[in-house]
Amino acid sequence: MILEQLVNGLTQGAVYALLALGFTMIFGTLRMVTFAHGEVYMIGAYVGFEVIRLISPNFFLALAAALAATALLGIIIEILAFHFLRDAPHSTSLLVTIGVSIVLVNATQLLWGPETLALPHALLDRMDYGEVEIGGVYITYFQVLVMGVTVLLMLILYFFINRTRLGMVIRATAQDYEAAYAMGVNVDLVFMVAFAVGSMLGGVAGVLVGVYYNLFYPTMGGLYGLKAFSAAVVGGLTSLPGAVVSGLMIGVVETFTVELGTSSLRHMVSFLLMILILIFRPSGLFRGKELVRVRGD
Amino acid sequence: MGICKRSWKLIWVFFLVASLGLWPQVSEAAKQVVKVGLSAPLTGDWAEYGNDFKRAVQMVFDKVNKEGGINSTRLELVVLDSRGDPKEAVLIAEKLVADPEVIAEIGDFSSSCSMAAAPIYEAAKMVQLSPTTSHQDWTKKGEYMFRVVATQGFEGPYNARWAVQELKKRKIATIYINNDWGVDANKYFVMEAKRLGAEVLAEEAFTPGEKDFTAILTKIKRLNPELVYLPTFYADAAAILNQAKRMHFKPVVLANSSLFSQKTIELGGDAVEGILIPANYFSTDPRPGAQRFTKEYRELYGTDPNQFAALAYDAAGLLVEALKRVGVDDRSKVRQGLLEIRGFEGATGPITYEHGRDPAKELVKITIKQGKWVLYQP
Repeated sequence: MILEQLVNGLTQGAVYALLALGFTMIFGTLRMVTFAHGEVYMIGAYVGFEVIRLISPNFFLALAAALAATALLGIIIEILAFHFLRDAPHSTSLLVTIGVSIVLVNATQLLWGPETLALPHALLDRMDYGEVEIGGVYITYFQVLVMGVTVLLMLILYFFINRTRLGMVIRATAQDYEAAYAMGVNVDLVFMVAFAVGSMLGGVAGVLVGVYYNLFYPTMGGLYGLKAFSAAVVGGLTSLPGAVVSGLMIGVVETFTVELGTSSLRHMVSFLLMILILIFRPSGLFRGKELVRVRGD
Repeated sequence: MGICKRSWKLIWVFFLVASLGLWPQVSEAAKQVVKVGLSAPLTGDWAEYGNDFKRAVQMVFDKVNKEGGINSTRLELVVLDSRGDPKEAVLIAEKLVADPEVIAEIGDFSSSCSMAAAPIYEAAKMVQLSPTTSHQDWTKKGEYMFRVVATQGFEGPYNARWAVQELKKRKIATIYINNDWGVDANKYFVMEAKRLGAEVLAEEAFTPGEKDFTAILTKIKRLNPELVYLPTFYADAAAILNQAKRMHFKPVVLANSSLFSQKTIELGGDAVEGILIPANYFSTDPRPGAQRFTKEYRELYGTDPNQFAALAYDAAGLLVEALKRVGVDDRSKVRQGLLEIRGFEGATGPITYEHGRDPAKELVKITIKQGKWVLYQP
């Protein structure tokens, strides 16, 4: 039974981790927190929903569509909230992202209606996840996929940031964008790319969660966005492995809170744990190093 | 200076005359239209329920207006969206109470919303008539709270008797939504089930908005209950049962009248097949009130109504009946009008507020068979 709960916790945690990776990517580069990330995730889920419903019950096609849509959305948010406000106080950009999140939720309500939507079950059956049984414990391939995608994306991202030329440019811009600009880096483009990549991670999480639970509703980003932001902070805000580890940790802690205590305590326990971690390690579990290697703050 | 003083006087006189002249016109206008507030979730998780309210109440008011209104006063519905948020429900209450043309309020949908707003309606002596608020304590919050639905104090034990005495299930687990309504629904069920000799293996609450139930289900599956009781709403129940199906956990499931919606089937697919619930209204219920409502609703909206629409329809009908008795001049009199009603023939069975403001109701047992709600046959 511990195995089954561990799988439950890791699946849930993988989603937090994916979203936290997005926060980390954006914060690490732009030094800005976006509060529209949960809503980007929601848009990703809805795009996936429409692709599966209207075009084909092919999960990977839905994933691709969500990636494209959320990348575009990320670019739009970057332009609205950061491009024009680069020299404004941080709080201004923060407020704009909150505004964008509200607009996105309400636009979704207008377009799709406020009700909870689900993929038709006939379609879902055709997608047939399949499962493995280990001693009476059923693990669906979709659960494995959720966890696998998270780890894979973390590795790709890590490689992208640390081993590619564009990654180096992003790191340089993250350190000091004015200096990077002086060295001929197209800073605008770098910010845009970072935001697009971060948003795509949100989009992936959206499709995975939407299809996994088969529930799509405009406010689905709220709680997940908050949890993932917390995971990113606990992870160190600029550390990619930190985001993943703390995301998974939160998922597992929640699940075992339910197992050992009661489910009404799950959010309280996970947030209490995060508060404790931040009291003893104010800069998070992993002091982010790979996005910004040398930085005073 | 002198001129100034004189002109001020003139202005005062002008206003005095004008206001005197306007006075009779204002009160005459008030007699032509009287407003009724509707506080309901039109967006958010419970939007479907709120929109059912709106359609059903509007339907009654349109009919009354077509027949010449109440003593030639037209009824106007003021629809306000509470989003299922108690804070919004309070703001709505303040807004309605402040408008002297509003005579009574219908709503809210959830117990949490209705309970938060109750003190405001009570202070204003305005009737708060909720189709669906079933929390036991709500009508104890004042003298102006009336409901149409059977309370959880009634439905909970009713379900417990169904589970333990009729279905002979002795090992029971419950999963309930952690809000006013869910806590209450769970409490009265568990109390009666235990009294009847059943063993309650687990009572798991989840936070509203939660969609991951795998941890709860894993825990409950291990306890191997004969029946799982689900005091939740449709999206939650569908999510719970879809996730249970994925882990090959298929217990007998009994839930509340709150699940009686087409959405339950749409979201739950074959995972909700066989689920048992009591309902306040069912379209094939042979009682004349139910039949009349079903026919009217079908003609107007082209689909079958659900019980939320039926309960709201009865709320509107009861209010119209009360207004016919006491008139539309004084909002504090509406209460008396409702208390005087005897044997109102509603879509959800006969309603009388003889012993307090919680009506005793007859429920219908229904289940999902081959993707359709049908009358339950033992």
